[in-house]
Amino acid sequence: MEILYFKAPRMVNIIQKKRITVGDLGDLQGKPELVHRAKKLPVVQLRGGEKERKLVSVLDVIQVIQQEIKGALVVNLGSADVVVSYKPRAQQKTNFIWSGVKTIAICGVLFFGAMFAIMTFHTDAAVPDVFVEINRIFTGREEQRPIWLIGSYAVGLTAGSGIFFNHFSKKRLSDDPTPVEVEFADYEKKVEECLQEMLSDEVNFGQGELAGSTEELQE
Amino acid sequence: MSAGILAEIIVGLASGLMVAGGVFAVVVIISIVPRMAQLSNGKHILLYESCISAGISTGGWHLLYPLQLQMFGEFGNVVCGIFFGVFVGCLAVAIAEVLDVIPILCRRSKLVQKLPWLLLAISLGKTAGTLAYFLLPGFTQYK
Repeated sequence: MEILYFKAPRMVNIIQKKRITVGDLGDLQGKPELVHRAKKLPVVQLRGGEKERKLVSVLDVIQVIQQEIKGALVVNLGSADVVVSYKPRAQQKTNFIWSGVKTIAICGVLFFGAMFAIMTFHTDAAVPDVFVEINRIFTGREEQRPIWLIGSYAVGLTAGSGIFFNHFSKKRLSDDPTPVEVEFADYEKKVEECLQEMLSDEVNFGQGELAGSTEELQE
Repeated sequence: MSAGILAEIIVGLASGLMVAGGVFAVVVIISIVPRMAQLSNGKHILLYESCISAGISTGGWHLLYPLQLQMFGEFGNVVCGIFFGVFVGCLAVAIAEVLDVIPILCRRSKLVQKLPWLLLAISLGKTAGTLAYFLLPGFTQYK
């Protein structure tokens, strides 16, 4: 009784290869000659020609391995389903002009949106009144617009958002991933799990194949 | 002690507890304390919580016994302003609306490498908005 350990990620990107083998889907561990044999076994055949996503269950992998190697015990350590994301060719050339235009447009939206958000926040929270009060505490004068307070507040605001994002200096302020990176990883995990759900649930979502992809990964 | 004063005391205590809990929860939810703890390598978390409590108490007592810190003058103004700004800056970018929108925006528009520029745009937008709000006349009439 030979034991083979199989570990597959939730999602696998395949470029141009139509005959998917066990080695493409995940990692195998065990006796070297068995691993070598098992890795080359084909599991699924893709149509090819256009982008598609296909769900491969780990049970198919186990079946294929056990047909070839009699008496093998396959232990699955990774995901129970693997989404194979197939692209007919590698990344097309990036269009720099279009990318630049998109960047400028989105930066514009974010810039003015952030401006709007902070202005409405100040109105909502009655911040000018608070500043007049604070100014009276420190200087005793009744000023409608305490310049020093406002100026240092603006400096602190910039510094605060910069500290929180931690992307501006080449030198990182700490070793942990920044909050935005944590959100990135979280979102990617949610997308992959949702894809698994959608592709495996034929009753609610239709066919088991999801043609095309909603985003391309820029590596 | 009449019943009216007793009722006032009870209501005041209860509402004070609720408001303090609420403000503390807001400060904690935006994960500013974990982030600051991260920057200081995880020590002094209890000290940070004590600071938050002290700040809330000070702000509350100011309503009854206004603070008299005129010895600090403009210097106090500046220091206070910087600290206010850092806190509001972290608050403004830590709310879930902003923090969840950024990765989705990056992936949908396929601009993942340009992330630092997008974050810079948000930061500059906040600064420009603050300056415009306070220095241009007319905004502060909307109360």
